[in-house]
Amino acid sequence: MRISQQVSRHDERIILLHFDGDLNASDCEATSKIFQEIIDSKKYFIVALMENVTFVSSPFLGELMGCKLRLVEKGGNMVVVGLNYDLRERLIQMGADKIFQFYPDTHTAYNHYHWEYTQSAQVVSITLPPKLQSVPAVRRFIAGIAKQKGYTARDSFRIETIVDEIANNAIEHGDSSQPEISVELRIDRKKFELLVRNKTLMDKANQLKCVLEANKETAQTGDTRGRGLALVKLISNSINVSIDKSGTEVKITKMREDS
Amino acid sequence: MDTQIELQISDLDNVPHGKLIKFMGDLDATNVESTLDQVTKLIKEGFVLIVADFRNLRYVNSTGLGILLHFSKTAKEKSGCFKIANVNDNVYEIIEIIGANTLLDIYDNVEEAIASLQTRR
Amino acid sequence: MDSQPQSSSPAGANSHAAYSVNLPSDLEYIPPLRQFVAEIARVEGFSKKFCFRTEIIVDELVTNGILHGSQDVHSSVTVSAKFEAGSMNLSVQDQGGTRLNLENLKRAVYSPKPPSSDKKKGRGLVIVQMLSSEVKIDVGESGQTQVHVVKTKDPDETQAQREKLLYESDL
Repeated sequence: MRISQQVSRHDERIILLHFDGDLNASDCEATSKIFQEIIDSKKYFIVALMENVTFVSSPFLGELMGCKLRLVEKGGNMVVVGLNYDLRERLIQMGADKIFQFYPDTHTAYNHYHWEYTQSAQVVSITLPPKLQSVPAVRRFIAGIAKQKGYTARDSFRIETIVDEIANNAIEHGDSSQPEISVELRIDRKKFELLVRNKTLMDKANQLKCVLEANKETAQTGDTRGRGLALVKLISNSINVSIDKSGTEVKITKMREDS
Repeated sequence: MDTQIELQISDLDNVPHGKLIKFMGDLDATNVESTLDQVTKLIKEGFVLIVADFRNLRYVNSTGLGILLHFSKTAKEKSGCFKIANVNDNVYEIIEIIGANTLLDIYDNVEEAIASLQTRR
Repeated sequence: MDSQPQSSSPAGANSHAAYSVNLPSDLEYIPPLRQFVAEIARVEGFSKKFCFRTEIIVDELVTNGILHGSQDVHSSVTVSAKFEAGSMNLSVQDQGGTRLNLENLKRAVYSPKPPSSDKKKGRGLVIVQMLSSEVKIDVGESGQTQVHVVKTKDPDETQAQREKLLYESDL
């Protein structure tokens, strides 16, 4: 076995441990010592890189499980990255999948770490031509992301409705010469934010601001536009409209229902 | 999250070591691992005569094809087989492009695939 | 620069529709993303077959960009699609991988050969090559890698559309 460690250059709280070759029972002691040193240096998140591992013995796996427990006690975690299919099968047979999360690549592991422990939002930006026919694809795309990220079916459906109403509005009431509209979503474990920017004539933009920022009762008595936007108000947690010379930006926040 | 694929596994009548697996959804990089775990478990348990029904498999990418070839190889190593039936045109095109049509046993329908298992017994 | 960026000039100023998506290098985004691009291609008048092929091209290129072109944890991938009457120009840009990653990509794009049957990886770009009319790689100044794909309508599809137009003009 060869083992080397490095502090992640992306996040100094994470240690990358590269394992190489056969991981035998005779390697347990050295490994345990390395883990203890890492814990003593107050680092509690470890990504075990196992792309070049050829064999894992059951005593070694037991040792790794013990090491993970020590990290978890400190509020940390250890995940395993890059196992080949055969090794993965072997580890699952030994019950390792109940203790460790396996990731195919470091990126996915980092993304999960950020999602779980740092609550930083992930951002997706879309630009599209101002065509109403494109909106169904956009709304399904964004709802699909929410589902993929673990939001409930109900939340995802509501997010789809919000995107639909706001994007349609930006196209229908936007300046006819606008070349594109932009839709941005910021999603984290607890909330979803949607920002839709477009070019709108000033009077339309002010009208929109009135509809969106008026109280619910006023909005519900309006026309179709008012009803759609009133619906958005009902299913979201906050709405902000900002207008300047460059255009109009509508920002909607929706909290995740099971957070 | 791997929400896009579902495997329905059932016994095959009169084929003691056989299983029918219905693949439903999209097989891709986000769910190959869970698919791999489920099918490998069956093979390890001795169910080495497998018929995969692709009627409701809408989509497969290169990663998904990689594990289909792996299943075929693993089953054959254990004197079994991994047969595929009801492949839609889109999925078949992808299988063909990478030349996997010569490596995988592909049948028009589940009945034919099962019949081929019975003749080998 | 390895090659010039794809520059099929549009027939008229507003004759093309351009879409772009920038998203984190995270495989979880791929299923909704590839379906989005396929659905947009459908909206832009391409056949179901064309859209399915587009879906797999997007999947393979973005997977590649995430796994081999996203060294930084905050890396992202940008997918742009421009639709014209008979073709789609698609480009997938990542933030650049290692030199080896780039060499592998170039080899896969410019001299593709399918891997042996026991390999589980390395088939993605073979599929992209086969389903596209043209594939090019472009490397930006700070190492970003951009894969450009031109996919023209299948001949039978163009013919079908022409026939439909002739039929409609007769009415």
